[in-house]
Amino acid sequence: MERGEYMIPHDFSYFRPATLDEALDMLSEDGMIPIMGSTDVVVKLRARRLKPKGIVDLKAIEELHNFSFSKENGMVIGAAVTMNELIEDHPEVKENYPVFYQAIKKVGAYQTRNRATVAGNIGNSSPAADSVPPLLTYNAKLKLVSKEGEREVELKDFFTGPGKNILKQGEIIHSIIVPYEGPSIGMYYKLSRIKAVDLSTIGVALTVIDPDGKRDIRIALASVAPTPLRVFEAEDFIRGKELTPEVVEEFAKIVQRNTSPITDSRGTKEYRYEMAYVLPKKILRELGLYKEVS
Amino acid sequence: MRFKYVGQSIPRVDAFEKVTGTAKYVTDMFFPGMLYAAVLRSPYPHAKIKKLDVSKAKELKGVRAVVTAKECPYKQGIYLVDRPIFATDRVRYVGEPVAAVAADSLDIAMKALDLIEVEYEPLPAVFDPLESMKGEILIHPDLASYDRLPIYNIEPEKNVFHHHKTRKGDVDKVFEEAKERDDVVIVEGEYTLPQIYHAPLEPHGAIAFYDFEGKLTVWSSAQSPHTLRHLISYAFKIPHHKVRVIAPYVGGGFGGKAGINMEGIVIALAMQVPGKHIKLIYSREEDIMATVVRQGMYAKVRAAVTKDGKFLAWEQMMAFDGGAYAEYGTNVVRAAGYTTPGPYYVPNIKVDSYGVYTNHLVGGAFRGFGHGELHWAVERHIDKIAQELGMDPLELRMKNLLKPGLTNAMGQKMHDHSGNVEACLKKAAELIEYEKPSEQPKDPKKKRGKGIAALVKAPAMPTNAASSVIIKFHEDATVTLQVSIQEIGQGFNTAIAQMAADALHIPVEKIKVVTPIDTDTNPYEWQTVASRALWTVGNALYRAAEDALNQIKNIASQVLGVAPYNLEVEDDRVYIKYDPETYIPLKDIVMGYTYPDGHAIGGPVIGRGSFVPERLTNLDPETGQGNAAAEWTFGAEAAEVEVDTETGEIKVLKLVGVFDAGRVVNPMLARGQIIGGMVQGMGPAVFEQITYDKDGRPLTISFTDYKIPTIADIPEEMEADFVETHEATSAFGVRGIAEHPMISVPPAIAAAIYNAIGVNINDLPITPDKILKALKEKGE
Repeated sequence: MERGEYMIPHDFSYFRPATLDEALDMLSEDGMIPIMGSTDVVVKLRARRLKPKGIVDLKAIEELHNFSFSKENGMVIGAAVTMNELIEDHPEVKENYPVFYQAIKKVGAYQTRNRATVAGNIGNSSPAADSVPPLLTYNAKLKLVSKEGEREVELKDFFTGPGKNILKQGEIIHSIIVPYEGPSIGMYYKLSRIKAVDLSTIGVALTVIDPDGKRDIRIALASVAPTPLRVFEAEDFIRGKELTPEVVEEFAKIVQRNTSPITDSRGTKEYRYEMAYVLPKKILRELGLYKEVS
Repeated sequence: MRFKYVGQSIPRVDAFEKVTGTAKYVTDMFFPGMLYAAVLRSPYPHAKIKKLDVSKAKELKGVRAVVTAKECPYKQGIYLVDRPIFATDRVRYVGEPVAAVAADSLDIAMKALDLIEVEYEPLPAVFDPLESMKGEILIHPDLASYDRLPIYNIEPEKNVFHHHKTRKGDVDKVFEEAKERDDVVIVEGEYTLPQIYHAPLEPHGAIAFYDFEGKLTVWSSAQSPHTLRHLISYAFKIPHHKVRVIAPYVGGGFGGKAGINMEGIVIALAMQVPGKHIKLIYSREEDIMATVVRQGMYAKVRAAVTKDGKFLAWEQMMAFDGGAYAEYGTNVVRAAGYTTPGPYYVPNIKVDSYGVYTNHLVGGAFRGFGHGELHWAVERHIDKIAQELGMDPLELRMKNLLKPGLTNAMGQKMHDHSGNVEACLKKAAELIEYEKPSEQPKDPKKKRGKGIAALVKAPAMPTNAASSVIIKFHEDATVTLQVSIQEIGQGFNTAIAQMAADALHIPVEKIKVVTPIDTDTNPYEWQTVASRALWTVGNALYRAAEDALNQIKNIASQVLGVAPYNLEVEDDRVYIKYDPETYIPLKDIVMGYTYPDGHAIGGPVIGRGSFVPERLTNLDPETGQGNAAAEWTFGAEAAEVEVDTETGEIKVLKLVGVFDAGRVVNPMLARGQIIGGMVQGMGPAVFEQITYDKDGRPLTISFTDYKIPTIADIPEEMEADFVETHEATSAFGVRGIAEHPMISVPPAIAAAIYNAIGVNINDLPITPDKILKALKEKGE
């Protein structure tokens, strides 16, 4: 690119602090926004939907790159860990959180996942965020930090609307904490117009914790409500029940009843509503947890 | 002609340039002191401009020019001059240019846009072509006063920018009589498709420079450098010799870069600041919103068919959603009109093809040029007839093919050399194993099926669309070929070099096709459109080669003392036919021959050849009879799909395309073109579409929302094959296949879906929700 041609037609300052304290200082000012992989932010900047005074790039902060896993403390994903690092460098993810692993593999394209982070996906707070439904089923928590201090919140309490969340000015997601509750199986079923590089028309994460023991079924969905949606009512209903066709049918109906989809360029309200009923059943069937009577 | 290079899969001549990134596109070009342009666009689909004040923008530091319709009150259009470069009193679509700024940087230009004050008064808008034809909201009240080619038939009170009529035989009589006949059925159906986007890799871009003597130079990602020059000359009232268009490589056009497009905006700016280059490269959003898209279409078909499957009468009404301006799109409507009902013989045909203005994005040329649209209706309808007759759809097609001796809708008689649709269908059926039902997957929720469809398309062009070629020999007997067909990725420069090598009898390595195209130095070419390049340029090339060879032989004849007809050129020499060992090296002839004593004869050899289509005529405006088509390319396509009956997801497992290419010049490139075209046809079949919100604002204006197939979506199996029926109107026996592979993929997929799950989807794209809705209606 030569003089005069910019991808982002907007003046802003760019900072890349090396420490968290510095970053939090900068972010406490009005008009400053944090970035990680910026796979969402740059799109918004180009479209002039976001006109920040300054951008604070958090990627140079060492502690945000931490990843750890233990059965005692669960998985802790630093805000700067990219999706491809989770997929390729940390086999613990696939082994212990298979539904989450499946979901992040379906985000964007390989190149996107080289940059995109889970913290960014959560911070962007799109109802279509693929990483979120599985994290909801795994009871994930967030560590939020700001100049004023830190707090821990449940992921389910984080979102307040499309693109909206409880983060205050100057507050960032420091890490994602995913408890380990035992072995799990499950599926993230993503329907989209094309098979890669697309946002979900609907995404359903169904996780079965301890499938051979207590068999705790959990379900959360993307793109069917103003925020990612975990359906506790359906989980309560199915808990402890034998998976007969009738039970599964009712389970799927409860899931569906809890959704409030809209029509957009990716799909109609009616189709999403229908799929909110079809996919829970389909996933349970494909997992081999029940058979349909024909 | 003997073919040594034609027919060989030689690698692309531009391959190195392109993979190493040294091939230059408009966006790669920079000039000292260049200014950058940005465009202010309408946020409304239909509104009056009540106030437009650019004074604050002009005052911003770094802004060099601001233009609106006040400075640039011109309209443009190839067939119908209806598209203003800047909106005048009203805007007619979301994205229409209202003002443009040139500034020292793009940043400043965009800041200046924010300072332009516009007040709009929204007007009632219309988005459906049938609704628009009621004429309650007139989008172009002054349509009757617009300049247009006389072959276009406007109906201003109905928002119709062209009404094509075909009247062959007596359709009404057949339908009337059919009521009394118990051996004839009448089948009716409706078919629709939405607007779609070309999605070229390279968005539109242009640079303009106006010098102090009034000469204009434009660098553009243009498919049609000469026609662009002509249209610029017309719109801006500058004589042709003072307009120079330079067209470097184009990164995909698919029709969207044909004619004139966004160039007028930078030209208008350049004329305000002579001596400065102004650059405008469209963002993807602008490329989708503000160039052209494929028109949408509604079609209604009625056919009378005997119970044993003979078509007696075909009536088809098409209403094209032409968007806010027609321009190039007028001819899409006409071509779709005169080609209906495709590759089938029907003795009685009535077609009404309407191009209708709406407040949607502007419709225009798109690979297939109306044929994807007409065949969607025709091929789906044939499937419907087959279902009603209880007949196999392939068998029904076979019974009604347009074969030699029969006449098409225009009354043109087919000849043995006109192409063989039957052979194409047979081959496609073989490749998809049509006779063998799909193997069904273990999962009972998933169903597979196969479908087949045929097609025909002739170049849609004016009767006098001309081509020319200049062959220049150099001192070492290498050759440059000057021809103004644009290399848009299709491989033209490679194929024409192969043809030139065979026409000149010299090695292909000795030929270089001149790039970029420069209208100041290159000979005239109408446009790089209509799948006509090898056919039309081939004919001009044949003459140019003959001219060059004659010059060589005439010189050699004097030197060797034999008649020119006893001489032959081969590789690096010209020799005597009956004594091949007596020869002169070509390099000693092509600059003129110099005798040992120093005196010289002849001169540099420059071959010149030109061509216009032979014996074409305009169509009778009332009946559509005449010679509008110079040659036809027939084809057949087939698909196998898998449908998930729970989610409605469609997986295209296999696509097959077979085309009668006349003679395949480069099998590797031709195969690439077919596979690319089938993928481009698959997108709109199953997901591609431009959608709007209820107020007419386009929703799919970026690749986040407008999806095209990726490698993950395309079928694992794709097969391309050819039939080669020598084309008698071509010196090389060739005909085009460029657009064709896209045309009948959607109906083949729709037929496969019917074969899999027994439902007919007649409204593109065939999305999962439509599948589920149809399954529900069917009671499954």
